[in-house]
Amino acid sequence: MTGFLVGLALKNLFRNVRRNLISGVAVIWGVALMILGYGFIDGLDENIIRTEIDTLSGHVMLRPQGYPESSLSAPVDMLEPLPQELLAGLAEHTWTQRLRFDVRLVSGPESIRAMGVGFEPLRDPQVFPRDGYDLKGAWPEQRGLVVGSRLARLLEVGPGEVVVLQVRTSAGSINALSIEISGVVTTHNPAIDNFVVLLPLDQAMSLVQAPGPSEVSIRLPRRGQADAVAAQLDGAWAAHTYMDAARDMIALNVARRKALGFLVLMIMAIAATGIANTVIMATYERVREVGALAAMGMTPGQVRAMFLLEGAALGLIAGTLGAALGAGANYYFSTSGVSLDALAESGSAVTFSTTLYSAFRWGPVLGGLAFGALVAALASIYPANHAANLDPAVAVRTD
Amino acid sequence: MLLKLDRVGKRYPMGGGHVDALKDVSLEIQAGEFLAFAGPSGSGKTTLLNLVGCLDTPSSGSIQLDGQDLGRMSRGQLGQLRAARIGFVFQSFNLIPVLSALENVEVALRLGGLPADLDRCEQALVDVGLKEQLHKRPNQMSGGQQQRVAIARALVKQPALVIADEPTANLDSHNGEAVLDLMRALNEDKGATFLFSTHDSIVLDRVRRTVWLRDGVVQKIEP
Ligand SMILES: Nc1ncnc2c1ncn2[C@@H]1O[C@H](COP(=O)(O)OP(=O)(O)OP(=O)(O)O)[C@@H](O)[C@H]1O
Ligand SMILES: [Mg+2]
Repeated sequence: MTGFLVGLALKNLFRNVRRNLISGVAVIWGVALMILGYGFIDGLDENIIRTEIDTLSGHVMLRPQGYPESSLSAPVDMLEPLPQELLAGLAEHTWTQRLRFDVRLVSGPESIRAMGVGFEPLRDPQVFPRDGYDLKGAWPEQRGLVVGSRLARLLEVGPGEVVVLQVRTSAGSINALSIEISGVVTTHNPAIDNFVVLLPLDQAMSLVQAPGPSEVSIRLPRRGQADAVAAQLDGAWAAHTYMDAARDMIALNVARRKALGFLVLMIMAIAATGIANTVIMATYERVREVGALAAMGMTPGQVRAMFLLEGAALGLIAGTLGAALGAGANYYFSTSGVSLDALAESGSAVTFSTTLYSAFRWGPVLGGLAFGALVAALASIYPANHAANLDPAVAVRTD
Repeated sequence: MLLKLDRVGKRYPMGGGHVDALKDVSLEIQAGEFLAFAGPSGSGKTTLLNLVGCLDTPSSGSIQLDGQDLGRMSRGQLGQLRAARIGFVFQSFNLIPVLSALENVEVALRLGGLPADLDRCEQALVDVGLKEQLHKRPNQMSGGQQQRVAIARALVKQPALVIADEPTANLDSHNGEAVLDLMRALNEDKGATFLFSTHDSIVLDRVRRTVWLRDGVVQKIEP
């Protein structure tokens, strides 16, 4: 009997394909949006974390005790040489040191505030891979400046030209250095491209008269090791993981997820209304038929099950279409990515890569599908009960 | 005796008051009868047929089917009784449009709790002259053919009673006569009991007994 009811429900579903498709469209969109939306937010999480690791923090970052957490200022009056104890702990890792400092970049009458970064020409690329960078010119080996591409554009300077770096030294006096631009880099991280100039560490240290670097970054074989290594090295200098740096941005994604969840719920509420309406219309159209079945002994429970199954099957089919659409689009964006260059142009100092790949996971695909079917089944409860309570005598009535 | 009605009354609420669709109807019906309830519109034919067909319960009096008092039964029990023992032929056929003729007949067996025996369903359709239409859907058949499927569906479970409310009303006279002749033949060959409600002389000419109703009261019984 169960198989028979399922068969009948499915056959009934195809009686009015167009109407059912139309009422299923909201489910299709809801499920697809849910999958693609979560794919992008998850992708953004990963994007932020990966960019943070690859361009700014490494997996573990160490800074002198008391160094400000905020990346907006880079004081040089509290620096010290790398403690011996820390050097010993670093021996087994791939690491590099950087010196950050506030700088004013001057070219003719123009000047602009920037973040200076002194880097170790040989070791820096081992921690901060440069695979995805576009570089005009060359990385300096001993002397020279690499300018973030947007910064270069604002100052209208390029490789071979000379700019002046104005800084405040660790002693508080003003120092300036005339330096030739050896390269202009696009890292695709706006926090670098819009704000940063890089020069060899030795040159940077003598410019600001710093006794040591402002940070040490470590690259680990696996992300999962970051917490343990940070805990182990924390001591003379304070150890942080990439998550500490990415946390604020990731927290924004929690809010994004909530907003998306709300939007999906709204669409699903519309979908539920549409499906309930469709199933109600079906029960009205089939009053005589259902009455005949009831007259022949179909129980109210069986009538109810028949319409519930029909609604659930509608939801399952629409959910499957939505999941296929969402998964397909998500897969596409997880391999091709979308460009966020326009976003970076607004002068953002936030760390992310300007090519965003969505994260493809099966969980939301299956979840979305099940959610669509569930919403449809729930929406069918009222109409199904309505049909179940139908008086079998209506089938006989002639008017 | 198949059916025994004893001072049966049926009262429907109507506006602020009520309407007595049947008043003190007493009647005995034997197995194997071929009988029509006749009378003007509103006289209570459908009401009476619904009561003996276990679709409804009387407001007063008692109805016994094979000695069982229908008034004491729950909705669920009445449903089981209909599924097992009563076949229905409706004025508007009421076939399931998404099922073939054969599957429509099969539904009655399944709901009756009987094994879905396809040979038996096929035989029922052969008996009503639809050997060639087994796999056609209702919308591929004429009204007369659809009503024959409905008759096969009603008879396949070999019910004690077949209820047919105005079975010819949606058929032209030619098809109406054919359908009625078919039911008469099935009544004679298989001993199935048929109860009709009708205005139609096609039916009245062919039944063996007619119960005339007027304003919910039995006026006369012919013969
Ligand atoms: N469900 C109901 N609720 C209220 N009144 C009803 C109901 N069913 C029937 N009646 C009333 O009961 C009376 C008998 O109706 P019934 O349908 O039995 O007549 P009928 O003889 O079958 O008429 P027709 O030839 O038009 O089919 C009528 O007055 C009708 O209005
Ligand atoms: Mg009637």
